[in-house]
Amino acid sequence: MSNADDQPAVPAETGVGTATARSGTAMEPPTGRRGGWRRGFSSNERAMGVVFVLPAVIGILVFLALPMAMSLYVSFRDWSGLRPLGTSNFIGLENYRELVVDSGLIRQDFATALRNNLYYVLGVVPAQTSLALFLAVVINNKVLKGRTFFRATYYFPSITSSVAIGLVFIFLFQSNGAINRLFGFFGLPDDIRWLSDASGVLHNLFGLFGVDEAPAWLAEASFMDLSLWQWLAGPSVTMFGIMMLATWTTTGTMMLIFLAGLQNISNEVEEASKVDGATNRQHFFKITLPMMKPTLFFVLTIGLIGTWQVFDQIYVISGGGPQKTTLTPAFLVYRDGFDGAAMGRAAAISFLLFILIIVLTLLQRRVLRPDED
Amino acid sequence: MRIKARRSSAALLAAALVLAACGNDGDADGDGLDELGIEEPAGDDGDELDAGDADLLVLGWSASPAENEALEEVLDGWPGGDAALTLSSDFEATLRASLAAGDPADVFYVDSSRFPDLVAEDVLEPIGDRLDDPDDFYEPLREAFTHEGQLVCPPKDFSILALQYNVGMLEEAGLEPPTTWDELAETAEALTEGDRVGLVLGAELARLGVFLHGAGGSVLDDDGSSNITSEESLEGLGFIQRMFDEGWATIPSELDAGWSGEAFGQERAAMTIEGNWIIGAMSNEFPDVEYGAAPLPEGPAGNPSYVFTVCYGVAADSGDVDGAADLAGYLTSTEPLLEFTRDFPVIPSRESARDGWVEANPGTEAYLDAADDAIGWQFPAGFTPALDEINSVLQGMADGSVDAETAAERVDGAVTDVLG
Repeated sequence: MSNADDQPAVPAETGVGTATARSGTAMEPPTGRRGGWRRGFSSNERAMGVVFVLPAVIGILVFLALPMAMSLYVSFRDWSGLRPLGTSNFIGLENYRELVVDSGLIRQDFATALRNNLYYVLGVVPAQTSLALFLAVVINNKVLKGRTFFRATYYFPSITSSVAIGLVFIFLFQSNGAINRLFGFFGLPDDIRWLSDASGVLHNLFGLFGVDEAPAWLAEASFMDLSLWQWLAGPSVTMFGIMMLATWTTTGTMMLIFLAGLQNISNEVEEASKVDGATNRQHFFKITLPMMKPTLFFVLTIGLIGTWQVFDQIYVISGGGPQKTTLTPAFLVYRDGFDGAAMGRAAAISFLLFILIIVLTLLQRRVLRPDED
Repeated sequence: MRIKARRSSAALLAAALVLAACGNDGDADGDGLDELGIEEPAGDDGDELDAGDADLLVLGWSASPAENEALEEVLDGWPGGDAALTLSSDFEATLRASLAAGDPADVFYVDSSRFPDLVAEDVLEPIGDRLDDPDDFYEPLREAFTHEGQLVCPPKDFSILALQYNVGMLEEAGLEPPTTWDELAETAEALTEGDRVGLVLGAELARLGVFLHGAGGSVLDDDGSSNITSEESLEGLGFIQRMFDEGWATIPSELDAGWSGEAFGQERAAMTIEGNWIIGAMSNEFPDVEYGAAPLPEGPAGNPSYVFTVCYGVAADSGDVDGAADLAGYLTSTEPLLEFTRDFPVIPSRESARDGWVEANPGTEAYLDAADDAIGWQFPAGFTPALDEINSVLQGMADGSVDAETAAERVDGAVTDVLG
């Protein structure tokens, strides 16, 4: 256990940093040398290495891999969750079939949850990303006074319990609450029923153009037991409120990540662009944004994953209502597994959600591939 | 000494749960994919499920500190041995984790709405034939916990719906509490005025369902198939629709309240239909509001109420079924029941405890009178998705976006889908 044993491990560790760190420092040793290190390990060092990573590996196996394998197993069984797992029966893909293939209430609920969450993701991810980037750029401005204060303030919502925030938002969103009064002050409608209005925002928008009723071709065609008209409802007013809340709470975290990315852009580059006479606008779009691409990818990815798993805010504020417009897959898992006694189906939902997230993340990676170095 | 130790460990547990709930941002109990994988409340509770030196372990949920203390006292009086009590703030998860592990508490609370799922899985040991004078339990309660003709577990107490009215508002308008649906509509109309609404109703079957039964209808018939499209059910749905459409009734969130009792206590509604749990809420939060409780107004087919009840279930997997059955029997005998329900408003499950309880809780006759022909709040196993859809439909009716006919159709579809 001499110090010399540990030394090679340290640079190797830095090489595996996050995407942000890699993009910033970008000073990895040539692969040839890295290979040289590996060859240089004595068997004793290798054993020590194993010992050092063992706690983390065991942690991951016990708390992550095992439960995941377990829920995959459960999703193929008719387990109620009320008896030991061994007493349940293997039913193959029945749980999945109920959710995706068989027409009925179960599939309709799942489709409703997917629709609600899709609009949630489409709203929250761009909103939180752009807002966070904007705030980060502002705060990164070295001329700004009190940067630490603003940084702490914007980050504050992220370190507060989401349940507590949810409860506060219930008060803010009441019909004579702060939000409506603020709206009224600016001459916007001040009688919005944030917590009980199930009407879709897009439907309301269509209504402004005189389309109140579903056109026949949209009402009749349906996918997964929801008519196309229902798919096009958009988030309900209540869901929209929850989306505002989510954007507000997560922006701080995203901002911090952007800030770290921005601070990795070297001064030389910035000065060079200034010397070359770039305007602020050009500087942002031609210098900052391209250099932030890996960070952007990272923020979008964790944003996408996080928003597809939304649960706490729904649980605290709306419980899936009004009229199921805030039902999400994660909440459906809770309802079927813990409120009902269909743990098998709940596990199947969580796996479908898992697959959905993986596919979307890979898709996003394709579109926004960070530059390989 | 023992009690003290137990209490402090309960306090520690509560503190741990609070910390876990605050610290774990992604507290999605159900998804099983919790990336943190730590601080799961269920896990904490699992460790707590240990009778220690005691012979038996009782698991329940925590309704109020008064209830906890009363239950501790009653348990100490059990002559059959030593019983430990765990009151969990996350009861459902605790119970399920212990059941799934095959090592549940010996005796645990069973809500009437959870009973079918549990009984379908043979989790409960039927102990009806070991109870003293089971006919003394109110009939609807016995029915709620009967499976295949056998009483499975002894009901401990119940709550039941009645009509609550604001005395001042009715007097001011010169009105009596309504006794029929017509009077209910008239009274609600007369009292709806400006910001105030006549009647506030939770948009859920557990409240609005009384109007189905009052018209002679129901969601399910006696055979367990859909009955929502029957003429009687449609009449009930029609009455609900009329009350909401006319604006005489509204839902709590429209009045900026979390539940009907809050809107009623804030005097934003003149009447509501809630259970006897409103007594505690009113005396704690709105002690100055003078209100009364009356029987539900009569519909064309009477005024059956919903009764929500809880029994002491004995785990089939208990290591000492005989002892557990003896304990459940003791806890549901008249004296312990009265002692247990003394300080807070749940009603003891035995008719022989009735007079003693009314004496201690004056003004509650409306609740007790409804007990005999009330309907147990209960649906077949696996009904949760259908119930969710029914509540969603009722929210649509309250909203004005779903009419009675459409509501019946959608509920019918949902029920048929779920029960086959």
